[in-house]
Amino acid sequence: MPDTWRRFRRHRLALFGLALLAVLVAAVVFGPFLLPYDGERIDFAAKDLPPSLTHPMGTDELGRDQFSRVLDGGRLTLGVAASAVLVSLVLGVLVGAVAGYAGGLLDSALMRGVDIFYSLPALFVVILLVSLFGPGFLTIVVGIAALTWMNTARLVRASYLTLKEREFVEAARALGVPPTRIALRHILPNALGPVIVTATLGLAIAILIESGLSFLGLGFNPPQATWGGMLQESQRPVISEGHWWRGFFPGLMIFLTVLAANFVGDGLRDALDPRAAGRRRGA
Amino acid sequence: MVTYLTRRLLMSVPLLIGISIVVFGLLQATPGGPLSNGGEGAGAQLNPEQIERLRDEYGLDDPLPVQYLSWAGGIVTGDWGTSLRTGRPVLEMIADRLPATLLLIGLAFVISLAIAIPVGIVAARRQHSTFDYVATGVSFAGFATPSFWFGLMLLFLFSYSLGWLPSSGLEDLRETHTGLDGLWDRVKHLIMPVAVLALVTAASLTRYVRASMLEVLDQDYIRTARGSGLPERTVVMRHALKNAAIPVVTVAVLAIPELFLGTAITETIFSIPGIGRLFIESADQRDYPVLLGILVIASLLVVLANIVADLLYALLDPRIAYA
Amino acid sequence: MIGGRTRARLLAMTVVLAAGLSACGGGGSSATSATTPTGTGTSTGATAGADEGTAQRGGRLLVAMTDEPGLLNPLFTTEAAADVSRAMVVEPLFQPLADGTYEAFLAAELPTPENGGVSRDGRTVVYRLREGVTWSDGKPFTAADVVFTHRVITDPRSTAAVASAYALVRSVKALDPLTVEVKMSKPNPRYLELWDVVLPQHAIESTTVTTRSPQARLPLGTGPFVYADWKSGDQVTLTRNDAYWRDPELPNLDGITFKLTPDRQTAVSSFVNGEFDTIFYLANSDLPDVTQAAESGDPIEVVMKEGLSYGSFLWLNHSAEGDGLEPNPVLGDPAVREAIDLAIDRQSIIDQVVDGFGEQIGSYLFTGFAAHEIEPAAFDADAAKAVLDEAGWVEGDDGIRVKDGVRAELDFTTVSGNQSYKLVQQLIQQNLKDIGIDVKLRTDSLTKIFAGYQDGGILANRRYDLMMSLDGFYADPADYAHVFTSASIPTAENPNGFSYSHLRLPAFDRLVEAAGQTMDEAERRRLYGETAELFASERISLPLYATKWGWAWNEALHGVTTDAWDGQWANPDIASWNLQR
Repeated sequence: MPDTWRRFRRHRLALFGLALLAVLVAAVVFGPFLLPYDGERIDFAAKDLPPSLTHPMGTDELGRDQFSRVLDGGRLTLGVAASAVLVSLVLGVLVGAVAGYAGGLLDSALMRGVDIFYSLPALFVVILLVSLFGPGFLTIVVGIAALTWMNTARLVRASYLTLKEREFVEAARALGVPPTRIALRHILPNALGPVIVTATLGLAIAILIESGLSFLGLGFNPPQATWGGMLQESQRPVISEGHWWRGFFPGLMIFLTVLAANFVGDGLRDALDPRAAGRRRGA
Repeated sequence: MVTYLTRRLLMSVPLLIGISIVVFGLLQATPGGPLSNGGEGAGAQLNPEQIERLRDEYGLDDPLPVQYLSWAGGIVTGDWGTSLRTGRPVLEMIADRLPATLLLIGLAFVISLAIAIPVGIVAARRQHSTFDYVATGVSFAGFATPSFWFGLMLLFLFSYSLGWLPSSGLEDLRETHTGLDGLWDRVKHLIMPVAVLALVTAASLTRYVRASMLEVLDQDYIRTARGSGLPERTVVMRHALKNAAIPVVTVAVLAIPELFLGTAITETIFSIPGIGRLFIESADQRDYPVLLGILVIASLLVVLANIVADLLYALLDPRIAYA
Repeated sequence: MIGGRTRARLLAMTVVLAAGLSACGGGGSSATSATTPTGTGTSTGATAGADEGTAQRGGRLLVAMTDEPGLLNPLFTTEAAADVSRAMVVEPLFQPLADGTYEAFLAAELPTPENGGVSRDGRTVVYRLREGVTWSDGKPFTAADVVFTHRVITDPRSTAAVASAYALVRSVKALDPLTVEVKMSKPNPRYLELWDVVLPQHAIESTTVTTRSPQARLPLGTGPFVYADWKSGDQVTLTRNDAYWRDPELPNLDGITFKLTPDRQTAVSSFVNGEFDTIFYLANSDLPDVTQAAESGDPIEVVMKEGLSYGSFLWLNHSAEGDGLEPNPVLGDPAVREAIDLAIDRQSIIDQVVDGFGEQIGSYLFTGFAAHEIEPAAFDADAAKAVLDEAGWVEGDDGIRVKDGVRAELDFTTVSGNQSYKLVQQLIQQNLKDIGIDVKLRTDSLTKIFAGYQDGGILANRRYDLMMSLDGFYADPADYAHVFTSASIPTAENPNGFSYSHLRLPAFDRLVEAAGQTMDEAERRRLYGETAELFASERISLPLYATKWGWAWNEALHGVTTDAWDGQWANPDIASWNLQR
């Protein structure tokens, strides 16, 4: 791992991405406590104000401070995306580990399951789930996770297949360590590398899927709004009234986050796969 | 080759059965069930006897496995059921909508490749040049922009502000244009939807071509070719490109199903009557037979794309024997 | 199925928040005789820009349409979008006018007790049909078609969706080719609402007509236009009826194309931009955009409807979960209902959210012949707090009130897909938070909210505390008032019931029943007035504001008139529309 970090550090864009993500996360987690405005407080006296020193991102048609709303929305956006990635990760690791470690019939059965999920039209299925079960944190998280876990499962399975034959595993087995413990304590940490890359890129994908759902009217209920939801709400103010700040800031946040996640993902991939890194650097 | 193809096709049969079971089960698990259309569409204005009759007609009281078998049998024999909303055969409704969607996907695919291949190659050859940085930056930006927002901004700029391009549909509905004029009319209607649909694909393919090219250019045989004094152009076009193409082709083919899904948003923005819109309308109305039909088509497309990708890979890569 | 039709039509409307979706039939004007083919001045709207004298022939009108109908025959669907057919393709026997009266259209005259059309006991009505009316395929329109229509409606295997006025019809008989005699089981004051759609017997094989039948999808009618094609998800096209019975010179247009534009904002912007000639139902929330565009010089005509249109209501669920016989733990307390009424800042909603296109209302009956004015509650948060204090609702640590262990929290849903509704919701949430009531917001699809009892509908199964939607725009409030009676509450025994309030109030039931069977108009008006007073004092639900409505079209389109009910749509003057590009 120290090697990986050393290589990652050399990847300037990835470092920049990581720093950006860290700032964004810190801002959405702690920001709302530091701001003088409540993102949900309606104040018609401050309606539709362009960005200024008091309202750096302007206000909306209910006079709410958009900076506060962007931070609140960020918590929801990142929360949804991170939860979806986490659920997808747990599911993928579980299936991949069981398949790879157990092998045999169970392995082929699980992998056929993975094949099936791979072939499902992901976005259509999420649209269907949300329009049938109604929008909400759980539906959206489960929907995204249910259609993104397969990559992780395949990667983890592949790692297990190779790792379980390695000496240190053989040794543990000879010492009588129980199989679950071997699978969790000895193999898992070594199989996680590529999974983290998938997870980072998954974060970006989840944010984009959620924003698409918001556009189709399948996003969160007010006063909650993700960045995608705010972007959707801004359609009329921007187009008919020229209130550009309504769309610009939420859009910028999505843009920066997805960009940062992609940089970090790329950097991690190169750092974990030094063979390819030399050639890809500069990307 | 034929045996390889046959084996590959046979292998996909159990997969298709599995997919169809999941898809069928998915809709059965939803609350309300097929006849709970409520206020609009087929359900609301039906009285209990009528609902009973429809349940009977659709066999909704049969055990689930029986329902599944009769539905799957219908899919195989070409009877995809009838829409609860319009009463028209599902296959006919899909067939109505397919041409618009195929047109969009086809153009978006071709344009993505037309951008990705030259840009990727040049960026790889001039790694670290300004061109490379700009190309990489733009493709990252393409990734990071929500496609619906990109579409709305295009509309705002080119339709509402400048008035250059029409905002909706595929053709001028006021008057019919023929010949070159008709072609131009089509093009004007297609520019923005295709751009929106192609955005992500073009961005990711560009990066893929570039990475693949970089990898190949670094290989020993290319260095050897260069060393032997062959012109750079020949090295790149003859030797590097062919090898770089192998992984790119696979990724490109698999992008087609992704494009298909992207139509849900593109068709909504630009009022284009395609499959993506049909899916959203049907989900809203809980028109189960239509939803099932579209899911089947979309899954088939994924499976098919995978087979094609495998085949192309086998054809292009001499190291793979297809016995 | 009889009953619930008008109801569901309204529901369909809430989703588009669209203007005058002819809950009560078509718009009024014109055609008092076959020789007066164009509008005759009963229109209330302006016809600015219309140049009646130089009507131009030809051209195809391009209309943006945001919600695709499932079926286009209004007899078989409750969807507002099926109104495309009204006045363009299908025509009624009687055309409703702005003042709530009717004009004979396909009928030769209005049946009255004086002309012998209505019997003394009010149970027999004789309808005389106009001579010389033909279906668009040239076949004559006769009494047999009316009789056939009734047979289709009553065929248990048919899926007609008609007004509850049909429930009283016992028998329909053709006395001669132009005379129909209808016997009612009870006096039926709404006999002029019948036969707003008649089916062509010669074009339909059996009395069993379901949603699958071609005639349910694309009806054949007597109107100025004929359906040419319907490409699902794309466009509906109509062409000129070359042998229109009113006047073969009409209609002026060669055809009309409705282009589906699912994204509402795109539809409005493209219309303003000149890509469409008009919009099939301009929503209340579109008005700011189009008026602004017209003021800034875009070539569009905007006509505001005089008076009020649909009301925006906050529906209150009075019953608790479970069997529904217990009162709602929070809303069951009259003090809470009063406090909510006082705490909502109606004027801010109107000024800030709907840009002034609305007016406060205090009565559930604010339109139609029985309109009964009641002063809306004045916004006073302090008074609201005092009411709650007095009733024993004490503020807890989190600022939310509690009484007898019950926390004042309410669940508030509305129809999804409308941005201004979401804003109103958030404003009400804020208002109620200020007086110590916690409101949780959500939106649900129209389908889910209005689905039936057996299908898990949110209203029918009382899975809400507060719900907001549009209603109350009726010439005759009979069906509407009935919704608030005990008899309309959906239960396992009454799965087709529909209620906004789930309140059993015998006094209200008695008034509505009496009004429904009274033939004397003044007496009916008085009885409905009493229901309105009771509605307001019990706060069965809360009227918020009546929406202002309007219509807009491109200046190239001439001859458009608007009437009180449907504005430019479902209006016989469509035959006179002409394009001058």
